[in-house]
Amino acid sequence: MSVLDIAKGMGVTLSKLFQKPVTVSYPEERVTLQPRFRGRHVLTRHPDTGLEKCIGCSLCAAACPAYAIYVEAAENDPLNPTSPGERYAKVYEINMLRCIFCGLCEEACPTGAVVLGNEFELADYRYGDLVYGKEDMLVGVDGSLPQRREAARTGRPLRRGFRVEGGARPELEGVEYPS
Amino acid sequence: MTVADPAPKPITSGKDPRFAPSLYAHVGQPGSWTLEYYRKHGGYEGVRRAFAIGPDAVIDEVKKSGLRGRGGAGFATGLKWSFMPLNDGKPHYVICNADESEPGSFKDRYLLSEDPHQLIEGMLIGGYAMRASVGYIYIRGEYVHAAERLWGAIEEARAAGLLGKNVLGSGFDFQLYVHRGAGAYICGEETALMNSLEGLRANPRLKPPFPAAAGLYGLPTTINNVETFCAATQILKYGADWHASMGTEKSRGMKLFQISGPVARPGVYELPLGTPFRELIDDWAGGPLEDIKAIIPGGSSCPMLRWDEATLDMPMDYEAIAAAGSMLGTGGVTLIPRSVCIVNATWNLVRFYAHESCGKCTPCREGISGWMVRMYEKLVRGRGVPGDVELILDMSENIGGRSFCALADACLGPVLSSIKLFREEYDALAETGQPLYPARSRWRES
Amino acid sequence: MKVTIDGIPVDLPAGTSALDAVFHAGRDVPYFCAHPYLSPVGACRMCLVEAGTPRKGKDGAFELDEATGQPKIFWMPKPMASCTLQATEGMHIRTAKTSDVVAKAQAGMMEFTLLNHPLDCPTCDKGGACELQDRAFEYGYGASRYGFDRRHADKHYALSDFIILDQERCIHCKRCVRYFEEVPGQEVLDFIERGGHTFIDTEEGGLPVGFQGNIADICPVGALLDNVARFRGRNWEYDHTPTTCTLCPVGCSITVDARNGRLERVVAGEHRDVNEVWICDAGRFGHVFATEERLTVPLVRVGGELREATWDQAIEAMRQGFSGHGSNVGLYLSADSTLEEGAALVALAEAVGTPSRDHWPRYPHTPMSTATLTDVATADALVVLGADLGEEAPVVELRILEALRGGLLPAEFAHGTAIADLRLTERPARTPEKLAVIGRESRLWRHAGLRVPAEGPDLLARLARPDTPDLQAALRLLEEAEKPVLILGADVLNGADTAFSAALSGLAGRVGAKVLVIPAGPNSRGLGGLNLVPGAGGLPYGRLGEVGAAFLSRLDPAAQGLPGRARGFTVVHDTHLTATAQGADVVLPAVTNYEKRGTTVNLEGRLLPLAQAPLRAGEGADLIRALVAVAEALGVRSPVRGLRGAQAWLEARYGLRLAELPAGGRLQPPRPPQDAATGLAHAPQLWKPRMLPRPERRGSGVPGREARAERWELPLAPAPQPGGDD
Repeated sequence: MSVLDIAKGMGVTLSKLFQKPVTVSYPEERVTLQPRFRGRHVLTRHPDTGLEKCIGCSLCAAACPAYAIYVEAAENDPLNPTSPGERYAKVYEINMLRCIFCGLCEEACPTGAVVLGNEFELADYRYGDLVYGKEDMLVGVDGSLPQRREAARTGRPLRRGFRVEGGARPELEGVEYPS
Repeated sequence: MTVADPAPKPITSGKDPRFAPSLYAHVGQPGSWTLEYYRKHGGYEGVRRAFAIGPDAVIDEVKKSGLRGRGGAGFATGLKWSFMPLNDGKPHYVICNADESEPGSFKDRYLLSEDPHQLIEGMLIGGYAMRASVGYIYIRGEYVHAAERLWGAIEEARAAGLLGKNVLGSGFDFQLYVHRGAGAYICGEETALMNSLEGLRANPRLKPPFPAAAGLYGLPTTINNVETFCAATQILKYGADWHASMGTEKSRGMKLFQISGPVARPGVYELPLGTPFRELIDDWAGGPLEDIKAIIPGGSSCPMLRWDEATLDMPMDYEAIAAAGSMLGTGGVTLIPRSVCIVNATWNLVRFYAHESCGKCTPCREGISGWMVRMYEKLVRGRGVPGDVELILDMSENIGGRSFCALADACLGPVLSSIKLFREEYDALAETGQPLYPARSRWRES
Repeated sequence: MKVTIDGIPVDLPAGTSALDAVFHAGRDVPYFCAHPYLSPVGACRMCLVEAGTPRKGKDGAFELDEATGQPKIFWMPKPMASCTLQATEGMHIRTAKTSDVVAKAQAGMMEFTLLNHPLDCPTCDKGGACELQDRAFEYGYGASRYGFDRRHADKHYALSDFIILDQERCIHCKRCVRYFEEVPGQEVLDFIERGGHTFIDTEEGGLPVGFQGNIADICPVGALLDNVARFRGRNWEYDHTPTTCTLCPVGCSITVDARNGRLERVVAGEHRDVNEVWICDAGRFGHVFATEERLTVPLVRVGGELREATWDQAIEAMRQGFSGHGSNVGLYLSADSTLEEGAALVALAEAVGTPSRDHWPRYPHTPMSTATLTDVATADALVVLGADLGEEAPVVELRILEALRGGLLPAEFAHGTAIADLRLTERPARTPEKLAVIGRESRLWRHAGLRVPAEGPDLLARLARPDTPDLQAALRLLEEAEKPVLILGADVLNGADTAFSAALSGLAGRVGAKVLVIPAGPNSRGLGGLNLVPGAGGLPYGRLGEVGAAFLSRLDPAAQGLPGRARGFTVVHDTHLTATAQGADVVLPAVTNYEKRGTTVNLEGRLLPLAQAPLRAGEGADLIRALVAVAEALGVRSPVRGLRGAQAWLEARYGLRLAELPAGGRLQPPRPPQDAATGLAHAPQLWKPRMLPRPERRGSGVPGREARAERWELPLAPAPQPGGDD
């Protein structure tokens, strides 16, 4: 190793010294995610009718390698349906502690109801709070359970620690992320 | 017959001086449907002769005459009659299949309405030969007029002691009932007809057991066409040799040919089997009125033949038409003019079969009634795409020979033959959406 | 008969269908319309194979192939439907495995079958257990070339409280139509319209009560589905537990499907000697009590009120309650308890020294059965005496009807029951003259050639010495037959005694008849054989009110109109807070028979195993464990403290080896039951009030066809009424 090589290396260091740092000081700053980042699930709705896309078929549960999903179906009230057709998910639960965010549930879904969103800030204190139900995942519900709890406690608007490059992907019908 | 005795040349033309109409001899005569008229013209002599010679001899006589079933399949009638079990102690039934519903066939309706006693006599002969004491005539529901004539004739015959207990003092009891169908082509299939007669849904039954072993109500039954029973009357009246003197070697006797399409005199013509198409079309029906491209030789189920010299010279018998790839069927000849789109014409037939499918088996219910008819509609409406014809052919392969009864195969007759003969018309519709022969009004100015 | 399938030679009995030949050889062929216990019809056309037979020459020998010297095979020109093709000597068959023609024919037929099928598999309860799904995956093209709209028809409407119909999914296999015509002999469903418009429906707007549930099992697609289990879970999510139904003494094979600790569905199992594959509606749909309103913890009466308690507290309460009664304790259990539970009760009663022990329902005296259900199905004359089979043992009714349509027991092959038995025919001829029914009017009446309205315990004596032409005809029927069977029910057995048994065996011996006695309770034949009846000085269940202290297991005398309490102290062990439990001093939670291991004895004397389904039962305990607690409270030590101990006790005392019982059970004539007066008449009732599906369980919101029901006067059997002796 010659002196020249050392100088070369120091030169790289020197040149970087004066660049803008890459490190994002999360959580003070927002992290930028790619649209295909796989985070907390969203249960989407048909945009025109507002009906849930989920028909309670349990195929996501069958596809789940971590056995994280539990579905219980029920008959739609024909006059006041929850989803199109005869069947809807009365109970839809994902255990976020078990979930490995592989996205196989999204692939298995015949109606495109369950889509992996970009939210990743799920950390919470109790096991039971990490089992997300329909009320936590339906489109329109912002943020994770602890974030919503925090927002309600402080009275401040819910704050997400990320932005998505180019916004949410089209599968996440009705979901808006800051870009 | 000895070698020295030169066999007389068989009668194979309606113009042969030795030939005279027998089945239709009285059709159109005033009062021909009355017992009085029928008796005056030698009626019920055949059955008298049958009673004189005994039932086994009647079957032998029918066998000797070479009579084959006139309903379409052409099975030897004498042989069929001999399948009935003897002395099994069970009641036997004879059924007359008068559910004439095939497009292009209309021979039986005149026999039924104009000469019902001929049929009653034929069924008496058949019933006597097969030891049946009950006969049923399953008549097409639309033949209201014929059914009424038939009822009248049966009443007359009953009153005259020709039906009922101890017919003509022979000790033979025979009752005859008329059952009107409700408008299903499938009831022409013998087992579906029996189901319908029993009051069940008209679905074909599993064979075996064949009707001769377990037919109507599970008892030995034989079903024949109207024309077959009438021919049996004539055979008993004039003798087996008379019948065998007509026709070709394997197709003996006379046949009612029906001709429809653009000819001068469409209708029913009684001719000996083996008469060429040319004679029927040109000499009897007065020749075609316009340019013809195809001919359906025996009712809509029979594959079409190309209109050419070879077809015109073809003798109308079971073997020659089978050799050409079609069937004699019921003898309902239909001519298809050049100016008609063959796809449209075939769609018309396919629609008929799709409507008449009974729904029992998958290839017919889904293949014909669900898919084939829509493929044709798609083509004719000009929405065809390249590959549709291949799809129809592939679908036909999956239908043909796979169905429960012959109805699906019958539908494939016109489909496959029309594609084979007129592929260019199909291709034009599939590729351009435009028919080679656009539809036009077919009402002739008179 | 030698037949060759894909080159595999197999030896088969004459009359075998080609379909069974293929399966027997270990090959596979898809089929929808064929069903082992129904006639083959050849409607779906899926089971196409290529078949060829050798021909016999003039000399009577097979024509030989010159090249190989083997008989020359003349192949049939087109593929044949193997379910309706009879295999013949020397026949060769090619399946899709070796024949491209067959593979294409089957794939093409699958395409036709799927043409109008809606493919709503994700919402269909059949998904995952669907024959069409499996076969389409195995034999289909994978894609359809059909570019048109599918047929639309009525979707998901309730045919009855139990069955829901989806006409779009129907593939017209006709299994349900044939089932109703051939098995229970009811003409309800049929095809309507024709061709592509054909659909299945019933004109009357309802299904007959009794055996309608079986059509949900046999439907190869999701057209006819169990309405009680609607949307409760997908087929792969259920825990399947094959066990034995203990609602009546027949002991049908069932599979209990549980999910998440709840019993969601019961489907029929196959037991060729008992129920074939059919079960009654009560057995199939009457399971809601196993999940609803279960008692999960012990209850102890404190200050006049039942309060939740621990088992220890319950034992302490029992100790106090039993003290002072000495051996004046009555131990009573329901007659659907297992043999092991019965053994535990007898052992405890002996340890305590109480003669007051009993099971209910039972008859004071039960004659022995000599006939099996197979004997019933193959009998050439049947006389049913004083029995309402619909309430007592419904499946016996089906086996009787099987005898009336010829008694053809299906053949068995390497793959199990023959799938297409060519001896079975559509709309089979029935011989009602083989059946005489003497007694009150019941569902069986319309199948009987001879109906004698009569009642009373002296029916047997009247049959033995007939005084009317009808009874004379019934006796003649027995006398003239070769394999007659006499079936006895509650009406005559309620008054039975030893003299009755002697008269019965006298009559049976005289006419050469076998006897099928329908016991009062599901396992009362087994429990009676364990000497589980009051001993000398003991009080029967009917005199519960005279006992000092009592322990009642799954009995509800209060609902029967009897005194629901012993004189002093009452312990009730039950799955629900029954009327009796509400008046008891201590209530122990029990488990249902779906959650028990053990053995039951059916009406033929067949030992049948029970298995444990994973249901949520809280702290519920079966009777063996509950009796351990009772023993502790009584201060005695019972030799039976667990299932193994009970089985060892049964083996030591009665030589019953239950640990090694095969899955199908074992026919082992039980010991004759002990005689003891009951003081009560048994009125059999199949549907107990708590078995009826609740409205919210009936597939909520599925509308029926009320409009239709209004138009038609229903000529159907009356709906089950709540009430009864439970």
